[in-house]
Amino acid sequence: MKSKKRNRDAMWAVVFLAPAVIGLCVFTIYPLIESLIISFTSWDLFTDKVFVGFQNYIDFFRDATGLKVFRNTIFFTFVAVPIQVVISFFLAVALNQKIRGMRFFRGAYFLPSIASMVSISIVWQWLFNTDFGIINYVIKALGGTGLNWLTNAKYSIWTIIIVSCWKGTGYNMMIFLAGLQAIPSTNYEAAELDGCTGLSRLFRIVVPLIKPSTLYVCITCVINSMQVFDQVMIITGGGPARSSSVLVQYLYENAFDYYKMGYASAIGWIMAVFIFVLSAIQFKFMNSDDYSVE
Amino acid sequence: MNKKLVSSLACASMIASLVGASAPVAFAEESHDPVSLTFWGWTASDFESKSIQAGLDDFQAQYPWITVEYMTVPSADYHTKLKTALASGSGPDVFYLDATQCNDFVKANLLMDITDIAADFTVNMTEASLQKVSMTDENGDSHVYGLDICNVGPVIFYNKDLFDAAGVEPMPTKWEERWTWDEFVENMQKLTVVDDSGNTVQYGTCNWEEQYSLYVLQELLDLNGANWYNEDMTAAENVDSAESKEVIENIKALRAELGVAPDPNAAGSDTSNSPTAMFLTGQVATIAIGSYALQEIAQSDINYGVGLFPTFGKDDSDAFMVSADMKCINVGSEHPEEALLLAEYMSSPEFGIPIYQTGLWMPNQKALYEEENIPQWFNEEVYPEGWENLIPVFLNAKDKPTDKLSNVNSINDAVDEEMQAFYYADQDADTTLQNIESRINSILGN
Amino acid sequence: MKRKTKQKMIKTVSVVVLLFGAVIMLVPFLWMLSTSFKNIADVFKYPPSFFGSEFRWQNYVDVFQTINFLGMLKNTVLVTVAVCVGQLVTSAMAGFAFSYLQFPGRDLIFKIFLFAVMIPFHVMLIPTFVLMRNLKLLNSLWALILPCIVSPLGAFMMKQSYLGIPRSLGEAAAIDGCSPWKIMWVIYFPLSKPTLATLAIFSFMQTWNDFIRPLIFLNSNTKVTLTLGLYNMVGSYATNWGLLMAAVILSILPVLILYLCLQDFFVEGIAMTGLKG
Repeated sequence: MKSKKRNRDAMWAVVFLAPAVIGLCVFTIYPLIESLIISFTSWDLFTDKVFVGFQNYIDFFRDATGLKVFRNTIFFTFVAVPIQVVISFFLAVALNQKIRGMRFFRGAYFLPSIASMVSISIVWQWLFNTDFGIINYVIKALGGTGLNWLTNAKYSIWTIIIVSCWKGTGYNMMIFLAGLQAIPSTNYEAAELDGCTGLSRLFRIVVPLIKPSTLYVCITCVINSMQVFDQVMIITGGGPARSSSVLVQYLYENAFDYYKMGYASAIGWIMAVFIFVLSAIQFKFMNSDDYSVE
Repeated sequence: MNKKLVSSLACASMIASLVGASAPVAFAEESHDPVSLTFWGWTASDFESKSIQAGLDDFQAQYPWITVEYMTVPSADYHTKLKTALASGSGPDVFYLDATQCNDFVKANLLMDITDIAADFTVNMTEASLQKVSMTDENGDSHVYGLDICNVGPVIFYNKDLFDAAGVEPMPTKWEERWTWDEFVENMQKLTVVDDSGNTVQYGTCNWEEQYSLYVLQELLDLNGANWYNEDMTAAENVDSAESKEVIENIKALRAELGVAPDPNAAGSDTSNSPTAMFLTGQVATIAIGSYALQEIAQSDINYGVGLFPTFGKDDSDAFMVSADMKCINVGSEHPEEALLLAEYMSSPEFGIPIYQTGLWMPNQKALYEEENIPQWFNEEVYPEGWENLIPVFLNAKDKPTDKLSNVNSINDAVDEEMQAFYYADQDADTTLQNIESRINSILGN
Repeated sequence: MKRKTKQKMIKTVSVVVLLFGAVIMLVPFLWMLSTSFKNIADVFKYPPSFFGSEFRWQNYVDVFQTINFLGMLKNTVLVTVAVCVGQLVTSAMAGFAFSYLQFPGRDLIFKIFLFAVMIPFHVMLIPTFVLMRNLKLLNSLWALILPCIVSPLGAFMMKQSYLGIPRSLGEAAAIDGCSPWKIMWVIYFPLSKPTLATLAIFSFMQTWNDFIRPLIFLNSNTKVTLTLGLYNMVGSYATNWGLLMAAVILSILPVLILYLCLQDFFVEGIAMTGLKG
């Protein structure tokens, strides 16, 4: 009886799964494998592929531009992610204080997330304008000197960091807020009985309890930051002198401007491995902590 | 359809239109199967797109059995998308091509060799135009792969009202009377106004730090005798010369030391389509830019004049370098004869004269530079005083040597990156120039 | 006593901080709005001010004339709706298979789906491009739709959602002679509305705001989407800030309206992903 059901179920499974599985095979599994294969070749899209083994990978670590771009991306990730995580966490804590105007704040903070990064970038490019942008205007009004945000190699990457944090904070804040709101009030009451309040309560009780949210925010922020692209293309174009150039942009240029498909694919795989390692580290780091809290 | 017949008839119609007569419609007698062509151009200004469409409509009226679909592709990736489309067999029949990309497209076997069939057409072109469209192969033979319709050269547009207010004399338009660089700087300083709180409210000049593939850097290097390449453009040499240094240091000084040029804002800002709005709003007195900007400036409220680039005193040439785009034919086109008709029409004075009148382009046919033909396109309302002195300069202009480079995308990016490091990241001149040389050489495979 | 004032202090500080943050979030939008109404001389005025010398509605009109805004909007809507519907349908079906049906290899296939969720998108760009070129689908909206029709994450979410529905409902229907197809669409699908809404919203946002795929797959100006169209505008009208801001506002408007109408769904959806992810 059971095997008959399983067979019938299997038939239905084929029906239900067919679209998703076909789509997955054609547009995810096949490209994944093909991308790996291409990365071992030298290919300009028009002539035949030439097998070169690991040469593309080796070349990347000898490519001054590639390494510079890699450094930029890592710097960006390791600055933008902590800033976003910390700020959105504290904003969520503040918003959780049962204050009036909750809907307004939620709407205001979430607004940057719904617009496309392209539109946001155009606006911020104008805001960072050296002579006419309001960022410099405010800085000068406060007594400082305006910075050449977009034409100084030292500051350009900070424009990307600022814009990315500005856009992502609201979204992450909502995730933290949901996590905070899921903490049953019994935890707070127990803490009060123990005489634990305020900041220490925040760090001893709340932070461990929202670990899943924190982990989620951290991992998604890291993955998104390593793959940053839209804002770089519009705000700085990667310049000046590639000071704000990032990996996905370099991949795009190698594939679609210089026709180096193999090299671009290798860059993609190096990135993928790096992202995977970072995610695994975060996972392990946050999950192993669980045991020490109690 | 006999190729020779086609080409001579096309030639005849062209010469006829030169003298103002209407094109003969001898073709209407024969019967033809309907042919449909695709034409690609990059995103152009409103006016240019309309002119192109009007031209295509005229063409389709003259050759009723041909329909042309005009497709615009965004400029930023135009050539890469074009190359991909052509190579995968779904490319257009006729298309715009930047002269610098010609080498790469020829190597990839994507362009139709039209040396013979375009022979009569090309013989009437100006020297620079002819150099642009022809390429020399290993045997020293010259081949033509495209037709062009215009020339664009480097000039300085200036705001006459601001000049008058500062007591600066009009910029010279005669080649012999060009300012020296020092005179230029002196005048720019007069035109730079700083208010009491230290903010510069008016700048003297702008756009000198534009990207390598445009006009300024290459022109100044050429004027100063700094040639970066060997004769057949297969290697870079002598980039780190005193002349190169003089050029780039002087360019940087305009902004960094003298304060007469503003921060260009958004490194990599691309003025290939629009002269900076700062000039159009009267906050900058001059702009160094390609002559194509005339069209937009003429439509603004600015009371404008034109002048030539200043000289470092070392050049012995009598003209600047010009550039423009070509019309090329897909080697795999299914309708090569009709494609040629279209390419020739889009490069003919009949098509070009209305556009020359707006100031966007200068003519490419020698005949149009002759005294009696100049009034056909020289629109007094657009071309400012002194432009007539530029006419011989355009006529004697030479082609940019970089038009013969290969792997241009990589080279342009590499040079831009190093120049940006020099302009905006305090990299010193020698390192910059040496890096440029080694990077170009590694791209060219040396 | 002390605790109550402490509470009050925390609340006041919170409000101040939140207000400060809200201002930072909103000012760029306000500035965008103000610039969109300025003429070019006012845009380049120093010191900058919120109001120009005139209210230049012409900028908005110019947007429609300089770029093919309606065409871009149409393209974006087509792609987004197609992807959204596609993802909902394929995910619901796959999720049902994973949760309700029993068949050999079920867990293995599901693990493959989970694995697929973790793959960073950029790895697949080049082969997908080559595939689209070979299929002659470059420069068509299909190149944007087909690769995104399946969402492994969506399948995961629907499976979780269906697991929360009592199996007895389905079994009762089965006894009555309903086929699994009917069971899914008539019983399970309607009961999973919240998850469907979340999935729809994420799918919508991601596709509407996607930039790199249109950049790679689309060629001609008639096919571009809003994001790509804006990017091209920046290339051509680099310093006409009034016009650019008007274009940006017009492109944000559809999503903004959607958000204001469905704000609660958005919030619920995000909350759910954060808790379950």
